[in-house]
Amino acid sequence: MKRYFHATLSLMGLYLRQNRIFTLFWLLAPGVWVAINTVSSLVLFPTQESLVEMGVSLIDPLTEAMHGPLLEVSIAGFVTWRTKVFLVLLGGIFSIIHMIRHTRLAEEQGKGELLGANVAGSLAPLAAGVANMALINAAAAILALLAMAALGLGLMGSLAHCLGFLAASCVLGLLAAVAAQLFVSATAARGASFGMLGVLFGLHILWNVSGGENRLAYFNPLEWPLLIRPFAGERFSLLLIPLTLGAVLTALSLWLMARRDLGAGLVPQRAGPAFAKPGLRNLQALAWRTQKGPFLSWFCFYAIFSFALGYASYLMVSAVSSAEALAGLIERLGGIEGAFLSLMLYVLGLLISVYVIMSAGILGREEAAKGETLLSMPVRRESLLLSHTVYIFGGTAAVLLMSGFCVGLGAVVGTGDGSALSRLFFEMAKMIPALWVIGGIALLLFGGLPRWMTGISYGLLILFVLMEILWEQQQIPEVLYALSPFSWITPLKAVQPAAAPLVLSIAALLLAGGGVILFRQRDAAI
Amino acid sequence: MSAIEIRGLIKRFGKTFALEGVDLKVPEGSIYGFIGPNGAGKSTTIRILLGLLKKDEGEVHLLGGDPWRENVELHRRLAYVPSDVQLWDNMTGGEVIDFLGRLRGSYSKERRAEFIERFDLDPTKKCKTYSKGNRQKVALISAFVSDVELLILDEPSTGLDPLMEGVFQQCIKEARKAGKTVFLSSHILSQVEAVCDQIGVIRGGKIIKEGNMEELRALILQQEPPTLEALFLNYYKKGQREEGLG
Ligand SMILES: Nc1ncnc2c1ncn2[C@@H]1O[C@H](COP(=O)(O)OP(=O)(O)OP(=O)(O)O)[C@@H](O)[C@H]1O
Ligand SMILES: [Mg+2]
Repeated sequence: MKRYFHATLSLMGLYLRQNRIFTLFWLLAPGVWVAINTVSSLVLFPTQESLVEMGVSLIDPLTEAMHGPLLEVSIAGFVTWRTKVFLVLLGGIFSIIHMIRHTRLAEEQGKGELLGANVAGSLAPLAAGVANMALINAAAAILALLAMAALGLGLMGSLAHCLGFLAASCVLGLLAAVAAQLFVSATAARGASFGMLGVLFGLHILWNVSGGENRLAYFNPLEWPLLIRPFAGERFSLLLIPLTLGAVLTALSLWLMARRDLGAGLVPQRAGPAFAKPGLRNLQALAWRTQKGPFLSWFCFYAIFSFALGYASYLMVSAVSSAEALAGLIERLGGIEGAFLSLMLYVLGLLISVYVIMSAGILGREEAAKGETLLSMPVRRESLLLSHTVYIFGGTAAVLLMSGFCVGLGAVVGTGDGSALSRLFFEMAKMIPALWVIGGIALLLFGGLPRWMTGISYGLLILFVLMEILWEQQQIPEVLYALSPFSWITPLKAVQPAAAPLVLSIAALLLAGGGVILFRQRDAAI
Repeated sequence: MSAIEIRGLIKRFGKTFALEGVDLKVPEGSIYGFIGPNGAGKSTTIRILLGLLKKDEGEVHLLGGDPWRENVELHRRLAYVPSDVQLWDNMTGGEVIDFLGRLRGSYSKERRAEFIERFDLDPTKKCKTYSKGNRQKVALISAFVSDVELLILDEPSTGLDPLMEGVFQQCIKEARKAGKTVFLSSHILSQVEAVCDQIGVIRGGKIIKEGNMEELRALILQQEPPTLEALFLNYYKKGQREEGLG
């Protein structure tokens, strides 16, 4: 035992002292989110009647696809229903990042070797990571429970709600712990974990849209907060499933860890080629080597997901057309067939911004880690930048075009409506310039503030999304909203100026050009 | 002719001075040992020579050109080994050597095979599985394979075992014989003593001693024990005053 778990407790302490801001967010976010939702519901629906009248009529098919059926018509029922998916996603994402960081990433950076050398047991880093993950999730759940109780929601139901998202977050984290054992690189392990979360989320939406019971739902963490039925006859026995799953996954990850060498995956590394292929002779070829993994993953994921979405769209169209409350919104979005899908495609397209920033991040890391080697070669600085711009701009366009094509194809296959293909394709294609602006911003930051590029880019992305929400609620003026590239493509506006794509493309070009000029003049960020 | 000539070079990072007026001259065809304590400014000087960092003030001539403006042309004529070599995780050592060779535009299959053999490197391993010493070897092989006039090496042999250290010293002596200039930053004074003809000592961003090995020999003999190591240990400890250096 000592050989395996020695010093687990001191490692837990060590991990807790790192990344304190991250942990603080993780701890507080669920409670704050539940509290915000409770307070705003209390304000919006002062009486039970107002809730029944307004609240329930606000439930449109989109919301239902996201959150599933409303189990209990009360403030408490409404709040738990509205918050659960977000809480699971939040807890899951934090848990995944935490697990990978303290297992595979630490090994990759050689910290594992340092720890494993003599001071700690061989399984201690993993055990400490898992224990901390469970502890932090539990503390976050307790804080959320306190917030709910303090705001007067019933204790039993609140407990069920918090246990539901706690169980889901932990199991998602444990899935990442297993993935960390299988993959040699932290990026791959993280990608696999988020991919899994994406698939679970896709299933969640699909089941909600198609309605009806599904036995498999008991194995999807995203369903647990619903299945535990907070405020609607709590079923605590459901927790047996996450407990069993959690135990199995913990044991599996420890067993896998014990079986492999530090730094190795389960699949041993094969010897590679002793000579480079003739094509590997310039920065473009190198950029392909470093960018192809994320690019192909996004490309394929979007192709498949878009096809499924297009195929399922007729289900949603029929669901939307039966909801009267949506008439106004649908009108704005250009009619029934267009409405739901437009909004979905818009969200789908916005998410590609993450790919844009990620591929720019690869350029940033390439300079930081290999800049000394690469920039001391007879190459121009701008060619290093341009070799990656192919993916930041071109890769993004390819993902969007493929996505548009597949949604269209899915819709044609699903509904037999032949005109859907070109309509949906162009709907997706016209988002390209807005995403290019995001890429332009990232490149400008690469030139000006290389160390802050990723952080500021994600910050701005979140800001743009917030601006969208605030504008929709008419809390910020049109001119301010126009600063967001997304305001030029949003389907929530009936018409967009015909020049919008041109304006956005020029903006993207100017931003990227500024990035090139700054990069040429600054110290290498090494 | 000097391969490298620097006068009054100043480099600031924000408010801190990394270089406070560096002056040095590297004669063509020599092996120049660049030594000094940690944080003295060796890597910073080298990065300015490579056009990776922009100088604040002073004159820098590299192979007769300006390293910032003419970087592409000049880089064709030199090879650089950084002190902390980082490589592409999913490429093998062999692939990296080929890739860098093609990028630099000067390398031959025969020399590649020769140096891989001499440094005893397994070129089929993925870079992420290489140890620090092996990553260093990849960069060294890539530099020695290239047909260039100038080698700039920043602590190139950290992580090499004693056997490989011997091979490395042999290789730079051969490079000199072939007419190349070598600019070698190092903490291993025995290595510097064994191979260098010229030495520059930097401390606190200033060159405090520059001269050829012959001049230093006399001073070394006065030391106890009579090694370069003893001379400079003595010197690093004593601080700014040029005691014992004459
Ligand atoms: N990017 C940077 N930003 C701020 N300060 C820096 C940066 N790079 C170097 N410095 C500072 O400049 C000084 C010189 O550093 P440099 O790396 O040139 O030293 P060195 O002689 O190579 O040391 P070592 O022997 O440890 O490699 C140090 O004080 C260092 O902290
Ligand atoms: Mg250095």
